[in-house]
Amino acid sequence: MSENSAVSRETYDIIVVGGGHAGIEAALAASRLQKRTLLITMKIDALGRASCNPAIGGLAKGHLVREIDALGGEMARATDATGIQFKMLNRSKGRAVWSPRAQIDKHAYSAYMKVVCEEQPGLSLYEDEAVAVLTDPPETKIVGVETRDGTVFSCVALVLTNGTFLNGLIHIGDKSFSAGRIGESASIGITESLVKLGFDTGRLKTGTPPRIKRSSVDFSKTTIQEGDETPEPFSFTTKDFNPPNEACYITKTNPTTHDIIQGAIEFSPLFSGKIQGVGPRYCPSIEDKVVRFSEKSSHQLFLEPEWTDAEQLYVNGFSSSLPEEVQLASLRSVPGLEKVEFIRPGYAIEYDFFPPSQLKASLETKRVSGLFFAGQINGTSGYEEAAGQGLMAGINASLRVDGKDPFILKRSEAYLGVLVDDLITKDTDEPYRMFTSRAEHRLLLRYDNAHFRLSQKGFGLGLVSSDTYQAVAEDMATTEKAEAFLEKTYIRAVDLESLGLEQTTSKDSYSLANLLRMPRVEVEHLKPLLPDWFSSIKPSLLSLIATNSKYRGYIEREQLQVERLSRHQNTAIPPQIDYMSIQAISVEARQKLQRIQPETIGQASRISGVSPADVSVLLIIIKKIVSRETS
Amino acid sequence: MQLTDNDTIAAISTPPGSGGIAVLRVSGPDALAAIHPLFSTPEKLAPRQAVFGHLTHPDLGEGIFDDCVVTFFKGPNSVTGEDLVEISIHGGAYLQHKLLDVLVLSPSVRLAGAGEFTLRSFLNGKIDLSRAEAVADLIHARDAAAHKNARQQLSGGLKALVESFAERLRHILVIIEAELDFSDQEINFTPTEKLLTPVLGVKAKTRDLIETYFYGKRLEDGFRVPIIGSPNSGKSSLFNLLLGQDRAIVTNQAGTTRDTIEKGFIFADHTVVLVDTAGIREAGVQAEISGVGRSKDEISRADFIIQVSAPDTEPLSLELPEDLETIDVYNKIDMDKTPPEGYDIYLSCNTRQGLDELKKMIYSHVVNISNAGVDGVIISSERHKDALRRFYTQLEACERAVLDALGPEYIASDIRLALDVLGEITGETTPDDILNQIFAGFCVGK
Ligand SMILES: Nc1nc2c(ncn2[C@@H]2O[C@H](COP(=O)(O)OP(=O)(O)OP(=O)(O)O)[C@@H](O)[C@H]2O)c(=O)[nH]1
Ligand SMILES: [Mg+2]
Repeated sequence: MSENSAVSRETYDIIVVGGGHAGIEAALAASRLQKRTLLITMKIDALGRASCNPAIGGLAKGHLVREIDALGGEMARATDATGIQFKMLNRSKGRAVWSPRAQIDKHAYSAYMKVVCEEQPGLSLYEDEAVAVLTDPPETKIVGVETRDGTVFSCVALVLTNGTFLNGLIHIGDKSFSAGRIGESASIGITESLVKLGFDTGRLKTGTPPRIKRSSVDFSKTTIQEGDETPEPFSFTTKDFNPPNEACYITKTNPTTHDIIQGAIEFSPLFSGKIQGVGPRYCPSIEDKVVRFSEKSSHQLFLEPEWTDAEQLYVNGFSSSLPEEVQLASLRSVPGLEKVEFIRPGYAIEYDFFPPSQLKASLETKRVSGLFFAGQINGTSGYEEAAGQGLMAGINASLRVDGKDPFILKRSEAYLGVLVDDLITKDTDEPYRMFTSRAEHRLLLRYDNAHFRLSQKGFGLGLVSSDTYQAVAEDMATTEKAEAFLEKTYIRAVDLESLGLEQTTSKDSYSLANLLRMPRVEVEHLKPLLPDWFSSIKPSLLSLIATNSKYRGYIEREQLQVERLSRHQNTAIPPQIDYMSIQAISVEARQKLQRIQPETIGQASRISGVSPADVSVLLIIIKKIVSRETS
Repeated sequence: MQLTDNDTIAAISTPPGSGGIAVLRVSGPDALAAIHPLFSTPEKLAPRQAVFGHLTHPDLGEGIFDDCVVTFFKGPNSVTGEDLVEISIHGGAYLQHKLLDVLVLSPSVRLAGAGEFTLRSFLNGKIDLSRAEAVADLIHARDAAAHKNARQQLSGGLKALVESFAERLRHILVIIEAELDFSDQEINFTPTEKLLTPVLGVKAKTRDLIETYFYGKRLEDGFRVPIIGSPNSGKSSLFNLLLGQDRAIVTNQAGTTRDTIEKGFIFADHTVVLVDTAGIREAGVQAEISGVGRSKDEISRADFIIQVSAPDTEPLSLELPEDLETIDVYNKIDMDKTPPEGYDIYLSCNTRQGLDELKKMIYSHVVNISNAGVDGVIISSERHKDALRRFYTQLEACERAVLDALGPEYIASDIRLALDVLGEITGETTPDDILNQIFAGFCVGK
């Protein structure tokens, strides 16, 4: 433990429990916002540990990481610093769905995060297990937290980011044992203490594949997969980006593999009924795939290095909770893995979560003020989803301490806004993961404009440095100037050929912006018509400018939709409305509203079962209540 | 579904059924802009002033909306507290709906939902707060009624048909979204061009379905069957004969009937509205000319017509629309021993010869039309038609996106919007519905 993390048992502004991706972002944001912050974690050396795959980003998740960066979070910088292979996914598709992904060196990542946390002024670290949340009777306000060693820390705001640790139970075949993840104990006590306060809890399940010895793999039978030759960094602040490009390897299962798995299916805790929790369908175990998609004779497996020169490889695509012998026997039927040896088998883990409809949009619980939840405790999955929530919770805990209004992103502003809004208005019955299809404003919420969308907010909050913000603002100004030029510069139809372009409509002339709207036309094609200053625009910005042009019509339509949405979207619903007594609302809506207690009309309208007519009635009731209170 | 109340809504605000004067209201930021292109003297519209004029639009027909009064109320000084335009017109249910129809064609105007005008009035402080509960109950009740109504209309065939549209679009969306969200997985993706066929299929059926609104309305309001012909051919005589009462004046003077007379009667379970019209010829006095205008108008609204010729009159000097179903009647057969060939019915109003054949033919036309529709389905609700029309527009956008090879994310955006519109008739499609189908259909996840 470094010197500045020495713990005094005084009051903190903010305490964060858990040192995973959510906890780190929460603690860093809080302390960077000048709050005296304590991070309690069961193992300081495990700060920022990636429990599952050695990768950050990916479809939709890459968007989240960029947004975290734009708001001043750490995940993007850590990934740039410790990534060993970078790849832009969906490059063959439209730029709205491009998404960056990186393989990371797990050791380096965790070490990086540890250093950042230790060196962060205002942030103290404490190694112990939090066992109880302490509230002020009548139990509506947080006052502190108690750890296993009996220490009591008091605070104004508490952020719980317990991940899969709450009553974690690992399953491998018919064996099961208590653990937070392999090799680390579960956390016991927090759930019980929250249930006592009246919180609802549920059980979820997730899994991870075996880790194998690199020296036991015959790579000649696999296909090599490398990253991009000219990788793009995640963070706006990363300069001189020159990361390694370590290979991954692809191989495939076959009918023999599937037969072995099928033959031992009764020993899988998933199928024997031993596992109660619901697992994610987008991340099925290999036994799930074999049973549910029996018509598929083969599934791809990716062998991914967990760190540079790693002897340990991650078998992506082979998540399993079958007995170790079955996992080993079936994997050995896969080309290249005939002699494979395990470092450890795959496993499934069940853990407690708290249905996030119990949260406000600030991620503060509705029940207990000053208490925030972020990450897997909210039933999400994924490092990026966790980090995003951690950042938002850290910011909001800090605003809470200051007595300021919460920081809430709209669905039309960020994937982070979609994430939080989905969590609090939907009933999750499986771990929630971000997909681009969840964002109705997908064409607007691109990875490439994350900083345009959010840096100003990050700067306003105090998390983005003025240098960074200035740089973003300059890019925005350049973009505006370039777009104006493209809009007002015309070319005659007859001159199109000279640019190597075909005329597809009967127009006499086209603005350059118009040309860019056509598929396959890029800024490159317009080069001869562009003034000199265009050539000094950096390539990533040029691409963004072209993308803006391409989506313009559609984005305007989406924008119109946003504006047409009720001006009442943000109308606050006063607390403690007795929904059950409102006869003019349908019974189903009454029950849902009573349980979820939405904070705004917008949230209410997105709860399934609440009709526009119900919302109208609600507006009327609110207007009456508000006027009664003010008169 | 999302609540929008920052837009412009329109509705007929006088009670249903035909009164002497009907009032249509348009409320919201685009109220004035919406009336502008239709109204003869929009520049005269000043707040709180009733302006006399006429309405023109290709879909409105000629001269029907000659006498109307438009009054503009500038928000917040209006009943809804928003910009509001009131249009007072003469005319029955048909004309009112026709005008409403044209108004909501404008993309910025939509049909008002149940109780929406009242809601806006209330939210903008135009209704006393003490009436909050009453307004809430009213909206609830109207919504429940509208729902019940819509459900009834959505029974059986229509529900299945619209649901099949949604299902096909969802299927396309599932393919596209799987490609966008799981492109890093081993999925065989369908090339975008292949998606066009189902979109076009749905689009064609939607267009046909929208067209059945006409017939759907007919089932409610009755089939309109004008009797058309040259002056003195015996139209009024036939009118009376079919009705079994002397309703119209019959004389031996050409040009007797000046105004149209209509009368409904139940005919083989369907209501048929017979319309006696003025005889059509080139010249005539002023009243007769405008009567001829009305006759032409009747033709444009007709489900089918009975065209009457007679041995002692000129042939009809009017070209009829090609696709118009016509029963060609040769009247006064008692006067002509050698009638020309080629008529459907040879009739004498005097001797009733041929009357039974004519009735049979009317019957078979009515039944034919009733059986029209898409897969035997017709729509009769304004709301359904409105939604289907917006759905259709969205499908057109989708088609363009595919043809222009814009890429899956554009097409997905179009299909989502199309499904949103359809959600107003059936259930809504959420991202989770799509994801569920992806998880069920594709082995995704590493
Ligand atoms: N002989 C004979 N005369 C008929 C027959 N039908 C109608 N008429 C006579 O034809 C004349 C015109 O009949 P209407 O029914 O008034 O004709 P119309 O087509 O309504 O005429 P306008 O309203 O003037 O266009 C009257 O004198 C009728 O008595 C028929 O079947 N046989
Ligand atoms: Mg007559």
